[in-house]
Amino acid sequence: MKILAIEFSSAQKSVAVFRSDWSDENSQEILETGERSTHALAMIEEILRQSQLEREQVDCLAIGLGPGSYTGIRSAIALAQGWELARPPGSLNLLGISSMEALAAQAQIEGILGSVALMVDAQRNEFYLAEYEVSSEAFRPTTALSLASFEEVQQRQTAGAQLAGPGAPKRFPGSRNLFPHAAGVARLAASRSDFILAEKLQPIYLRETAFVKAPARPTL
Amino acid sequence: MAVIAFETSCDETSVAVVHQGRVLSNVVSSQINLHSEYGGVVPELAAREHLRNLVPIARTALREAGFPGSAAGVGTALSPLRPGLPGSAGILPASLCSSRIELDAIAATRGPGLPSALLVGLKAAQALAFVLRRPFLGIHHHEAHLYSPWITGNPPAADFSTFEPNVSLIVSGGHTLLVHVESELRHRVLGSTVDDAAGECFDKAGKLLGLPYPAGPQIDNLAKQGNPKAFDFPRPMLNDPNDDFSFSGLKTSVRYFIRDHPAVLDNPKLLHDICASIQAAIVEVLVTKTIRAASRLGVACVTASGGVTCNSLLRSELAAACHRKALKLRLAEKSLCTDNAAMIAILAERKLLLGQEPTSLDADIQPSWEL
Repeated sequence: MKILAIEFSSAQKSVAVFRSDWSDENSQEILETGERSTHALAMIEEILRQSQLEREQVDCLAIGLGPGSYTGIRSAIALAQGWELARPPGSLNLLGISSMEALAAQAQIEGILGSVALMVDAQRNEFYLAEYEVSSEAFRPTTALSLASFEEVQQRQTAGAQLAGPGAPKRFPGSRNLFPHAAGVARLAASRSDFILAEKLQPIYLRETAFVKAPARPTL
Repeated sequence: MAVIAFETSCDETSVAVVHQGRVLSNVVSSQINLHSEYGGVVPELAAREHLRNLVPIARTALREAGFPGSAAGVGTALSPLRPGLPGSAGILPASLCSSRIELDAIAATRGPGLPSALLVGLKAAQALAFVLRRPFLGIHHHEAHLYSPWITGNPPAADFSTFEPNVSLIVSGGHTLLVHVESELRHRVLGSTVDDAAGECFDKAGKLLGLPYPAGPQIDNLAKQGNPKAFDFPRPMLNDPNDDFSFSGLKTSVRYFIRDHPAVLDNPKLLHDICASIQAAIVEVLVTKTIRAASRLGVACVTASGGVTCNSLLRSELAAACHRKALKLRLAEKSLCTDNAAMIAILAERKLLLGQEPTSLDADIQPSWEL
């Protein structure tokens, strides 16, 4: 399996390659570059070069679907859609991966263990929030992903939860700055087979859309 | 050369394939029904729709153009395979080669437009070009409109052999521009709206009248039974010594008129008269300033494109005014007036044939790109 992962949901954008055939001892290795926000295809070209993969050899694209920056996530999805159009029908699998799960994977890598409250800024003084139990062997969600107010997140922190997320210390002093990585997305994708059609890929939307509808006849 | 183009600058998802100036397919999915209940385009909803629609629309466009999976193959008149452009390499998958042609280049609208909407088409096109190792061209939406009047026939084909310098009116819900097209791919903006676009004025005035979005076509229909001289709405900047436009004052004038005469909304005859009067005011300004610019610059040709060019009075008044001044008139065909990827693909192919360098595969959207 040759997976190209794209994780653009936060300010720290990254791409990664996972090759199940890579190392001498059948272990899995991931290369990653990051933080060049507007050079997605240059990043991808570089990671493929490092991985000694041709574009046509990628057989799975794994996309971080957020929650997070709509612009970044939609860029990644659109790239996947264009990529899929370029390949013969049925030759490319697509996977949508929760960036919050990738964040939990990163917490594990960075040694943030125990009960961890992961948060992503949702703008308008709200936050995407999910709690995970993270150990050195595994991680699992203990609460469902939800939208929380500033006060609610603050209460979790006051109650003793370890708080971490992209840019978290700016809003919540004492919390950990933690970003989802494409390497985590790739690793999660390696165990998944719930492939999805390109047109079904969409960001994880938690906030209800609330746009003002036009009145039948406006008040003058 | 064969080019596939994506257009997602506003609320229409469109993909087209052209080959040697001929439009092989031009699939447009409009979101009008989605946005109508909000009284205008909601950018967030538009972006969501583009993500949902782009791939199916692209597949349909490829199929209609005769690529594998198509019900109808390409015509026998198509030329055989030609070498790719400089910078292109690699062999395309069979799904992107018809029996006689293969894609040589990829194009997309880069701007101007709604940022979240532009992003979808641009990034997908760049990835397609990257994987296929084909050149990519980011196209200016309005520049493509400048050449859409030269796409005619059935099936549509670009006729650049008859191109001549012209004054071009681009008029839509988002823009009103007068452009001097001095030669192919060389142009100069003469003027634009200083506030609302003409199409915006149609839509906002219609909203005040209680008409559904988009109100332009409704006003056009209602105006057919109305008296255009019944009410004297202002003709903003009509006699100003420049090529700029202004329509917000006209919209405000309609607003005050309805506030002071609310009963007109319940009188079908008066509603028709108001629509005809509003339309007459907008069209008179557009036509007068376009013809004046053409006369001043000494061009022999006038063109018009953009969604408002579907308006029947604008088409007939431009025709009459050009006839009086012995000017040739080229109006974009109605199917190519509104946003479409065919004009993007046609311009991209033309630019590449004339030696334009490809755009970077990581070029960003340009939502406020000036022409």
